Amino acid sequence: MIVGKLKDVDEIKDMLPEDLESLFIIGCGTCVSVSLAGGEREAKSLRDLLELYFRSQGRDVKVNTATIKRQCDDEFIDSEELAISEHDVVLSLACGVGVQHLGIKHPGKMILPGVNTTFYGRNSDVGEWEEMCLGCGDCILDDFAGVCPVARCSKSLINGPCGGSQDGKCEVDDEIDCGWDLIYNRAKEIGQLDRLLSYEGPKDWSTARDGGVRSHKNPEFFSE
Amino acid sequence: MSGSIEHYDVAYIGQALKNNELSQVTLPASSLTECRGEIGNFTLSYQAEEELEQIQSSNIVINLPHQEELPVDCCLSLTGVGNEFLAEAEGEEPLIIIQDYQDLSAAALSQRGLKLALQAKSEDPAREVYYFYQAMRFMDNNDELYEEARRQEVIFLKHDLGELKISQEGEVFYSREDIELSLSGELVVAPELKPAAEVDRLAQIFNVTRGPQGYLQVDNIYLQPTLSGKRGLYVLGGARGPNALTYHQEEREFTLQEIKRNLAGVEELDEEERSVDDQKCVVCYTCYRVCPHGAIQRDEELNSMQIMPLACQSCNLCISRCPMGAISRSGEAEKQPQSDRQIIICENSAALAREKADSDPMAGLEVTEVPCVSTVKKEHIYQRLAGSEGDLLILGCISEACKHLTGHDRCEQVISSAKSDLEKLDLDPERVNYQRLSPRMAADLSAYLADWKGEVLQ
Amino acid sequence: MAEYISKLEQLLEEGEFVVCSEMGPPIGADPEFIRKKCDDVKGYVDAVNITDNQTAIIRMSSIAAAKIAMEEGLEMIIQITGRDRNRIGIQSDLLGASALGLSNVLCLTGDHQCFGNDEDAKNVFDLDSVSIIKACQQMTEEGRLINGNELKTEPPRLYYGGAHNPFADPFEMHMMKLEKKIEAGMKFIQTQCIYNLEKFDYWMEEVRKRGLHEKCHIMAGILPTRSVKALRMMKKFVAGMDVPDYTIERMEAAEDKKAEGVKMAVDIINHVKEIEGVRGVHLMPVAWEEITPVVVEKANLYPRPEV
Repeated sequence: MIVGKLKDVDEIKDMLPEDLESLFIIGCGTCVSVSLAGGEREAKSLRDLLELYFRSQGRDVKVNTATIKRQCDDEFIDSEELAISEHDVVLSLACGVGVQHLGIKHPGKMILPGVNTTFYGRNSDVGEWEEMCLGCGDCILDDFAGVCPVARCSKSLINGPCGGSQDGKCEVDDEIDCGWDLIYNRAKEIGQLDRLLSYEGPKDWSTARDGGVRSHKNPEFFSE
Repeated sequence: MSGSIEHYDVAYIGQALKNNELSQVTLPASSLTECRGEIGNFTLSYQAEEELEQIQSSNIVINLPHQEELPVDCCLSLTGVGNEFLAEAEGEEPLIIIQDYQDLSAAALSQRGLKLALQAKSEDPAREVYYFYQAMRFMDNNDELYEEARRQEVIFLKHDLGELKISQEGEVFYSREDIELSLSGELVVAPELKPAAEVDRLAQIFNVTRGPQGYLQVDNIYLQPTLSGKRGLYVLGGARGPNALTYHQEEREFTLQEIKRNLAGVEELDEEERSVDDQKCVVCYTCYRVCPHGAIQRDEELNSMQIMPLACQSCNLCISRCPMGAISRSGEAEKQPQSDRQIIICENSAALAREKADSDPMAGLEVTEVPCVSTVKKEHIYQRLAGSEGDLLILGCISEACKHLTGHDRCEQVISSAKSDLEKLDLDPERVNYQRLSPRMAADLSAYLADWKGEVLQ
Repeated sequence: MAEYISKLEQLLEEGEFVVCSEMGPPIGADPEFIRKKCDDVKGYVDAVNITDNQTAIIRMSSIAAAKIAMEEGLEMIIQITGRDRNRIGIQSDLLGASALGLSNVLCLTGDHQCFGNDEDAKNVFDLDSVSIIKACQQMTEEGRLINGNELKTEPPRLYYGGAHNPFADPFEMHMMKLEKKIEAGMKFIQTQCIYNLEKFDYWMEEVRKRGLHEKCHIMAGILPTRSVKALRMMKKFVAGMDVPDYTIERMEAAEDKKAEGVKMAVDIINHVKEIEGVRGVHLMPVAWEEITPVVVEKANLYPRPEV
């Protein structure tokens, strides 16, 4: 799932134009709701906080909210067409995808981001998420006992741990598990240690961001 | 389908309690895979031979032994040892009983230790018996046993005064100012007790809040012996806590009595209806994870979360944490705050303390009583601050008194996050105050409120 | 001489017990800084490592600094890490180093940039230590780049090694990585600095069991220190360092900390010299470079052999 984190409210405040008269906060009801960053709950409490702020500044700014199922699909946005046009500025609490999709649909509108899109991750505890995937476009989990060295090693090393791993922790931070320690333990568990001995040539990054902006088509929907 | 599933009054995970009146089934903890439903109608799935099977039960009792860790391999455990080995003893060897080693032991182990010492003396009065302890814990006739043991010349050594060490070979070294001892013999030691082996899995299966040291019961005075946070689920022995060893009789009686009461009929705890809007629910499981009472499950047909009405204990925590605002309750009405001195109080602590106070300490304040302060959302806080120029006080419970186990913590998390947001916008975070109370702290409540009113009025 | 790529290779191949040391380039562009440091160690060591933006702190490039030092008559080992350059930059720099006559290369993954002053930099890590070694091997021995393309002119003459931390977890996984490096063609290794001799002995035992000491030359890392504080800092903050309490206690007990630091280093050198498979030492007295000649002399490693 795409994991996000609500931006600090002072950063959001600083983005807003000084002559703002009306603000429309749009939550997104899928990934960022599940990662408790940009759903209806966040949209409403942000609305109330900003209203409190504007009032303390003696400013009369109208703040409204709506939360739609997915900001990354046209059909869901359509229902808010009118409301969007009635406000000066839209603050989207979707991931970076949703924010831009709104922009594509509303070329003349100022669309601001309210959420930092952080990573693809899993829910590891209530209110806690962990990065699991980098979206490199060429999954190599089969070679590494199902633990991704690209996403879960701070240096994305594919030939083994660096000398800085100690007690299963990463040299970058004691809070980070050493990805290679996880790979090693799982490989041992499932009897695949020998596979880690083979030399991995430099990874093909052309399928990742490094190959340029990506897009793809499902062949079942396109004819040659 | 469900018609063909066997229904029992009680399902035991682990060891069953002796009883003739209830229909019961016993399942090993390791076989259990899922628990759905609520008190009166739990459905348990478990692995039987090759197949997954199900039973239904009105109540569930988890009764598993503690895990024990002995300081060295070559000693016997004071919890498990029978007295049979005494007769086989060589007689020459002293018997060394260590009642408290790393930690103080439960009173039941004092009793077991004393009985063992006396037994050894009665088998062979000449045998040396050493008894190391830090504190004698009393229950039943422990005091008489202790006196008798002294008369029988059991050598008691209180080792909180000195240093006690057990070597890997089982030799015991004891030193204090006046004594220097090195002993070897038959060694019986109170082990370090840990939660039963399967509690991690069980906590997940039953979705219950964990207590100290990982046991399944939260340290909370609202919980009577063996009640878990989940209605109809009882935790005993190594699932409950280290002191369970002493109280197994009470555990048993209380549990059976509660079960019988449940069987006579269970009612919802309040009249309000809480429901999840299946069109809004995104099945993120946040409500499931925060519910202190394991009262929420996924409705497989609707693919939406569902609150089980009997299991629900009305704290409304799920409502305040749902990211989609998909959970609502009847009777929920936001009133516009009027006063400059607003106070939100928990009906289980501050409200009770208020009743006990001599004169109403909240006179002149705009009071909102909530089932649990975890109900408070950031949204509420900001709205109230916007509705008046005054301050807001929230009175929650101290941990031991929180009926909803984690409710007070959840409230504090929301408040501190709201305060930090206010600070970021240069708004005054001191307008929001949080204080913890127990229902018995009427005097503290009055004093605190007097202070607060004084400050606010300034 | 002609068959050897470098003096370092010759000494190691001819069975000399080799002494290396380490030099950090300046945070600035002053060549005199390097020349002065060269004078301090000249004659006392066989080769000098020159670090590549060590601990992610920006310094003069290791190749440029090494070129200056080489002109002062020192045998240099350039360090090259994967942190700041991708496969294009690294191979290009290796070709350049060889063309300048800098043949010895120590291939490293590199410290994460969070240790330096540019935490917000984008890291690269396109090649890890193993694949940098492999790049050296392919270019030197096959005249090919990693992508398979043949070099159009003379291939580089590189003598390449790597590092290893005998104290890192999990032990077995690190041994596997060491084997991979050797398989990729690594000629020599310099270890993480050693304080825990028991663990080092155990590691060497495992190395010998696998026959790795016969496939590459092992130099033991030695880091002389002169204070309890430095030892404590290393124990606490340097990733992958194993400083046992007895080392710290020994330093605490000493009256003359500097003399004790030298003595401790000499003791470790004397210990590792006797271990089968250890072919030299690598001295890295961080911020105490002037002590190198003293340690070399006290360890009876002076004078150095002529080639």
